[in-house]
Amino acid sequence: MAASLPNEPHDLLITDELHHRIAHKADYQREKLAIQDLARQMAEQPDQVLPRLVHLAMELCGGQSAGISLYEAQPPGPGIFRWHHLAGRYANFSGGTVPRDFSPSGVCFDVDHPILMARPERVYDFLSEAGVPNYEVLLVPLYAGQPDPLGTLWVISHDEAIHFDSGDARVTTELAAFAGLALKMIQDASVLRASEERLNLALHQQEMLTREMSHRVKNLFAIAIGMVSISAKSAATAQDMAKTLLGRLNALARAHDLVLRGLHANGQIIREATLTRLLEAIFQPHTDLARTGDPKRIVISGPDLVIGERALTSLALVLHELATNAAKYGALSIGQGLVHVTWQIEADNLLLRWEERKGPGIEKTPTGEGFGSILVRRSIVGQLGGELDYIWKPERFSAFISIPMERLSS
Amino acid sequence: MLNQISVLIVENEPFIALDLATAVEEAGGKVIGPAGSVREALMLIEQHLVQAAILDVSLSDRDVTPIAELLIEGGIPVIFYSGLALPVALRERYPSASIYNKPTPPVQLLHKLVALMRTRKVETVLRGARLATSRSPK
Repeated sequence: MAASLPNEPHDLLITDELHHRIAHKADYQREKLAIQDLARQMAEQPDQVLPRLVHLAMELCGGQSAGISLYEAQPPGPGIFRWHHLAGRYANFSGGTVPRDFSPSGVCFDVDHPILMARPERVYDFLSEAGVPNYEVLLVPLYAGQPDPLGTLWVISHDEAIHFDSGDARVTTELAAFAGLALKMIQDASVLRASEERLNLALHQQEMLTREMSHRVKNLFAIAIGMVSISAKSAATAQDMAKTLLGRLNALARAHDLVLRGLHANGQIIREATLTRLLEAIFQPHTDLARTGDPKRIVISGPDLVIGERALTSLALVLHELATNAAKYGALSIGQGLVHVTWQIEADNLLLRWEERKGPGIEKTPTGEGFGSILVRRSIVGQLGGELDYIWKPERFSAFISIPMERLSS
Repeated sequence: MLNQISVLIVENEPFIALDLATAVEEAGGKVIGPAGSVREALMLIEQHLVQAAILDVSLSDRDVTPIAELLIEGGIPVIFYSGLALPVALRERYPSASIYNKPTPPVQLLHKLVALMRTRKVETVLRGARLATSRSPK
């Protein structure tokens, strides 16, 4: 990655001149004040440090242009330098880029110490764009805590009478060290900001989750209270009430268990409650009780689909009421009865068919709706926006439930 | 207590809805609904005379805002019965709205409803009185 060219003028790189020239008397007081000024600015307005520093380099060295070139790797190529905070005659060229392998900064990187160039535009044509001769360019590498430089700080003399010497190289080197420090601080601050943002996001998610949980718990209490109240009004005896209520509360608890299983890991709610799992959970007490029976008495079959949290409670209660009914009066009340629950998705609707066969038989279509049926209808129609139909035949009972998929997943 | 007043119930949890409905009936009111969605509630409002309402905030199709605005602007006493906070738009628009958090015993909601009806009656009477005075002969 040699930056020198075969036809390079012999007097282009004149770094040795820095040491041969008699250094002008250093104004340490001025330098000290300048550094103090920069330090104060670093604390108050870190983003203003670099532009201020470039101006100081220009003033202290007596140059008419100055700037910072920062290296940007661009694999697989050699990369570029981008100009930042340019001042003086080059002020309008901030943001410009020059090749790593064809620029004064590239040479400075290669030798890794301050360099001095005379009339560099003779080789690097882009330096003639400012329209003024660059009699001398002083470049020093800029480090930020690493052994490899990040870029260069440079000062240009457009005045034939002004020459840079070892004193200027020393001042510019000091300023470059300060610039490196400032760059590191700006980088660290942005890293810190990013991690602060991440922390805030996590805290926010935590808070949302807590609020969501609190809301859910309150809602469950409200439902449970409603359940107790309703069950008390519709039950004939205390035992009857306890049985109905326990059945409903258990169904609610099992449905809720399906949701809870999906609530963990990095604060995200993973919805895992599927129709198959819900039906299994609802039928669980009946399959456990009907040990003598054939396991094929209850058949659940259909494409599996995820049920959203909002729909879950009502669907669970609907299916529970139907299952309870089957166990009390229907196919699950006698040994050889069968319950088939099948479903499909058609035109964005879930079509679920609940069918009971070989039950005790129904004499006639029941008149009037029990509380359980009112509940089922209200849940399907009112809450899930669906439809419900019953067919009562002596040898068969069927319930047809249709629910829009969008409601089901909400 | 409710004296045949017709109360619209908008609540999408069936158990809570039915509990509220029975409470209204037991207090001598007439139940309209319960509606579980905004769509359903709008249909009921069109078909029935609504004199008071108990509204859940988060319904199956969206939040209750359109129903609430319609009723409040019509001067109908409304109680919000919610597990969540009131939507910002509603809270800003009706800062003095009656809000009850779930769970609250239905009878407490009904007492508030009766109180709201009474204030409204007084207001109407006062307005009537003012109207009467302004029209009184010189």
